Amino acid sequence: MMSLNLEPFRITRKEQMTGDIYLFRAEKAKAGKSKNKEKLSYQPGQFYQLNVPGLGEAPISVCSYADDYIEFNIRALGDVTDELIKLNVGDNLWVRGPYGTHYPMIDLHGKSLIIIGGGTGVAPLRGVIKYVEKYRAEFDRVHLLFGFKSPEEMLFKKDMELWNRIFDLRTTVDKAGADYKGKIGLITKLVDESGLDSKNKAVIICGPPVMIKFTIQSLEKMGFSHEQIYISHERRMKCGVGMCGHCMISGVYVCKDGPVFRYDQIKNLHE
Amino acid sequence: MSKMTKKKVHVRKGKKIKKIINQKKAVSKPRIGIHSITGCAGCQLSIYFIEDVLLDLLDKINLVAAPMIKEQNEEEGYDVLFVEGSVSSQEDLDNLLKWREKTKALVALGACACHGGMQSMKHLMNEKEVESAAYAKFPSDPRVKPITSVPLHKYVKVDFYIPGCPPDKQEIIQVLKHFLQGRRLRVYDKAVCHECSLKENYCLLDQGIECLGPLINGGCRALCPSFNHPCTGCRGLLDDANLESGKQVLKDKGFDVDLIIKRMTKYNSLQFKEFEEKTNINNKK
Amino acid sequence: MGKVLDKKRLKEFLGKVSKGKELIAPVKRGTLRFEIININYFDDICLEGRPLFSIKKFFSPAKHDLLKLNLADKKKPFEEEKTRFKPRVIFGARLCDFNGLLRLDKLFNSKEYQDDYYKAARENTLLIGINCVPAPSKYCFCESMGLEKYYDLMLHDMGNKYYIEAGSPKGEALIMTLEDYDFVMPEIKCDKKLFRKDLTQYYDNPAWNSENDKCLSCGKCTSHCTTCLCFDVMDELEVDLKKGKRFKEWDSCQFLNFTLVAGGAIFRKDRLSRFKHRIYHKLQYFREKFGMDMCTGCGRCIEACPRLIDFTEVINKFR
Repeated sequence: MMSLNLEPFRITRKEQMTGDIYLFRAEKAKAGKSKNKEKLSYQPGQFYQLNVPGLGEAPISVCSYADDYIEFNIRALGDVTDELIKLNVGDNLWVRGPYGTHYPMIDLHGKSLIIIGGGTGVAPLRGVIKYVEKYRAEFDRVHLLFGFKSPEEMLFKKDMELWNRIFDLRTTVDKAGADYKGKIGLITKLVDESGLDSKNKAVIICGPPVMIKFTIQSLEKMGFSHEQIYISHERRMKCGVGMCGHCMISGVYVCKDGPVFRYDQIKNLHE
Repeated sequence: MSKMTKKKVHVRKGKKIKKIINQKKAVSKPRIGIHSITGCAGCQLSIYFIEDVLLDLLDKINLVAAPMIKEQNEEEGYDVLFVEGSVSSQEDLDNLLKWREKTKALVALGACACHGGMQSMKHLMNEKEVESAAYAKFPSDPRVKPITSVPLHKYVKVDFYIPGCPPDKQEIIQVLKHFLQGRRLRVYDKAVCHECSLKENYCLLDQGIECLGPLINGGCRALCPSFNHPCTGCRGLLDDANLESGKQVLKDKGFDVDLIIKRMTKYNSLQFKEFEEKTNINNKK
Repeated sequence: MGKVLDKKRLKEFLGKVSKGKELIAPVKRGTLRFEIININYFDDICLEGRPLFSIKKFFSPAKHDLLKLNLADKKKPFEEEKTRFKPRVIFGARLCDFNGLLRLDKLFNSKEYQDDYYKAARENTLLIGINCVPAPSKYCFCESMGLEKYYDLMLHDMGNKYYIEAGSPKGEALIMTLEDYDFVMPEIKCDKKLFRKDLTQYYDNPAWNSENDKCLSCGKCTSHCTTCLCFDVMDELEVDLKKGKRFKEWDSCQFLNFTLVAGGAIFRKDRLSRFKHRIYHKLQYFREKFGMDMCTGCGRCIEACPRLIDFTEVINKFR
């Protein structure tokens, strides 16, 4: 149907991030004995539909940037994701994609980036950062501002060590025990106190709708224009190809026209 | 892939198999119970009426308690407990509270358990009058301590609802399948009208028949309207049912307001009352 | 200039045209519906009034299997349902029905993505319409919608004969042998009008509220609509929990949980936003994208609505 061809990928790595969040790496399952890995072409911000036969599909953003593998950060939040996190190395993962728009990385060359993420919203941003790691020379300064619920729920701790060295990484948590040495407070506070100006910058935000809303308010106060801000929307994407209607916001299909949007282009849309 | 990683994968695979074997040992068939409080027991019967696949399903579960069809019944350690009927007496309540403690998941089976059913019409009447009408002629049994009939969730946590009077056979099968699959259960949440128009039925409202389709949760595959019987609401009001407009639909067709309310409250007195209260509060605002 | 066919010869003509094909026509059993019928039951065909259910089900069925599932086969748990398709003739549908297909094409048969079943159905269905003079329902307003003359053949009732015009080479070939007739196909006239306009500035207009207050969110408007195409996709296994299928089923933007996402957020929670989403999708968003309205003026949503909610009245009030 609908040219929705499912392809088998093979899981080559699985890493537990937090209690119910896992990072998976998958490669295209090879046909025959060919030793060459098939090249993948996906961009940060895009998503794949991940399948569990008998349960359904879940749209998951890519969180890597590589030619021969994709990484997905999966949180058990529904039927499909509950089952996905039970997969192990060597298992087949049936996917279709990539779908949707991506962060316009090439257009952002030469700019300084502010990447703001909340919770699992940091996952798609990891793809962006992986791109920046690869093409570091193309970008001016890179600021990473991440917020998590608690220190336990922090994602990509290994990556963070590297990012802390090569980028300006700042993190905050909503709540933490007395022994926590890092910053405590909402992500908006982190943004407010960052002292960043809007000159030659692009902002990329991903996180829950409320977080996006208030972060943008903070950025407005700091002099950022909506044309500088890119956000990613979450909706119920069933088909992924702009047919089923579930992900529509006004006339926009989040699956096809999004999920990545420049904020000025969608800020006035009615739900 | 290098030799190193190959070996690694192999080890992991071995671990995986071990894990599955361990799981197999640990997880035996889920222990299912079926219990009953005030109701007609018809819901329970509709479980037994899924003859065509009942044996296949019984193969996958361990039916440890079902007093209607079994002599030996276990009193505890349920994985899933189906309870039919509404809480209408102290005895019902005592049982329900006891069962809730003994089960991991509780499923409200049928209209009474989900929404209160017909016996909950006391909510819209004078309780004393109802009781004297029912018991005046007969000496009251001291064991019967009637309480205003309510659905299960008013007293205990309910994990899932299978509404309907009686519940739909296919839905019971589906719930059991989804449970065995480890799937999160979801109550069908689209109006009866939806399933009815997918079947291209001749709309009963268009024929001047007092159907409640637009207000009621479907999932029944519009069984009644498909046989020209108006929907009487056994699956409960939609979460966002527009009662005022629903009343107007029937008024426009020339039906008496009293009749309309009787129809709407046949199974769902409590839900109806709660909706009305909500509307009143909103109107006052 | 078109052709003419004696009414007595219609059965013979349809028989010839539908040979080796499925014939679909409006039949009155209780209510009027499009059904697949045998030409021998030609007399059951009823051309009075337009069926309240549209022809979209023959192109995108209400429930349709997409994949076969076999969990036991780890290497190939999914198998695509093959699209088997017997050619069809739809007879007795209306211009609004056929124009509805032009709208569905935009999403189900676009350059980027095609729905195999829809595509096959479109390629293998002959469209023979009946001209709506007089308009078959008081709720019709297609005159305001600027419909295209889109059909293979269009018949116009002239008492004891039909005037026939072809709208495609396929149609032309079918009527080549019929007698020429000098006539002009009369235009459809509707009682109801819709004054189309850019709705952007009216989104927050309170005029929507009164109609929204009537709305029951029952989804009848969308299931009866000629162009509504939203669907849900679900997996269901058999009792053995091994074999099963993935299927799609019509859904409706009017339902509360239509925009529910994992985690529990609902993006169009209040009825008014859902109500307006339908109208704006029909008359604003779709036009911005595809240059045509996603409404053909068939009036089915009004007629099917238990409260006869009429969005044309709201829009006509905006000046």
